[in-house]
Amino acid sequence: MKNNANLLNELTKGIWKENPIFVISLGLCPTIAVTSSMTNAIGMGLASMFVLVCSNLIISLIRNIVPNAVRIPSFIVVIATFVTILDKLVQAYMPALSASLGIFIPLIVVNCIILGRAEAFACKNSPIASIFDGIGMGLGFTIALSLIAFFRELLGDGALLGYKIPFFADAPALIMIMPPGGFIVFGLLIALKRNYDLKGKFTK
Amino acid sequence: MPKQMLKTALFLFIVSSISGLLLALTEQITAPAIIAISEKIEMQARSQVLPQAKTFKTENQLTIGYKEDSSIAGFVIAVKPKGYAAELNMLVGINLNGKITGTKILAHSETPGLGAKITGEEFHNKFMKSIEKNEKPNFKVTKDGGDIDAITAATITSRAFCDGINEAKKIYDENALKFITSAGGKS
Repeated sequence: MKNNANLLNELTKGIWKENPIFVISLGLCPTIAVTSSMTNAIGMGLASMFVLVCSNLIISLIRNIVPNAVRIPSFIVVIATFVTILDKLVQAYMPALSASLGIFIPLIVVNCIILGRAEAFACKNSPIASIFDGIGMGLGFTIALSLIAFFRELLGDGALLGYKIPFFADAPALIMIMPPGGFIVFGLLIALKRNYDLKGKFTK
Repeated sequence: MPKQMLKTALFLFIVSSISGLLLALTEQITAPAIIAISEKIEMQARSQVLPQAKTFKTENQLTIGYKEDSSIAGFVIAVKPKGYAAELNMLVGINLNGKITGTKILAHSETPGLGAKITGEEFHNKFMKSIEKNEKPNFKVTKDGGDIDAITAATITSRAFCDGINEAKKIYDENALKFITSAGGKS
């Protein structure tokens, strides 16, 4: 019973309490890069989740036999393998996604969230817990990316998921889909979340 | 100590071997699908840039498009102008009158959301419209005194696109004539 509650916690912590973007602030490079459109953000989020779950599982399985001296190189090999497999699968079976995300998928290898979870969680916890951690962190990442992309695409391109939205499409603020817009939206969202989290924690 | 080293090396060796095996397997499974997709895309792209043609034959830099009665409909020319991030891999269709019938970007590494719009219908339609009403369009972006509207915030990509068109026209001027005359030409 206690065990189940723990697993649920591993799953949900990535979404809010330890959100990889808004709280841990890892993997910001792809965050700014892909959030100019919601389609890309969701694609990137799910792709990262796939890699995160697979690499967490394998790393948790080998955690007791991996020599400390080559711990990180081994993790990188595991992560890079899954990323390459994913890249090939997307190219072969999802050509539309591959066309828009093409150059970002190989970069998942260097996404710090993946190595971060391998180091901070998977190499210290059981395979099942690691899978749940991967799903939770992946969901948190996807939700965070989609949220940022929602504002950037709507304000900067006047569209959502590629469909033009009346009124917003009349005069889109181009800066929002350029890098500065990414930082602005990201900063405001972090501020909002902190404000909510800290509410009531300070007394006068 | 040497025993420890051996163990470490062996572990890394095993991990890399399994990884290599998995990657080889993935390559085996996906390679045919990836090749089929790129061939299909190329075939579709050719018909898109030269709609009048039914069959195609490649000769050096040109792909000749033939109509159903096997007369020449025009040419599809592949060019690789330098874009913002890397080369744009593009096709240009030109008919016997030297008029552009269509363009298509097959591959690019331009910034998503900005330069990547070069592949979109919006840019292409605008481009086709601007050369339709113009007898001798100047294939340069308006900023450089030409007739082509650049994509907002992606002038370098738009310039590359124009470079590609001009290069294709040059290849056409240098090579196309001999095919037109050898096939009897147009009267």
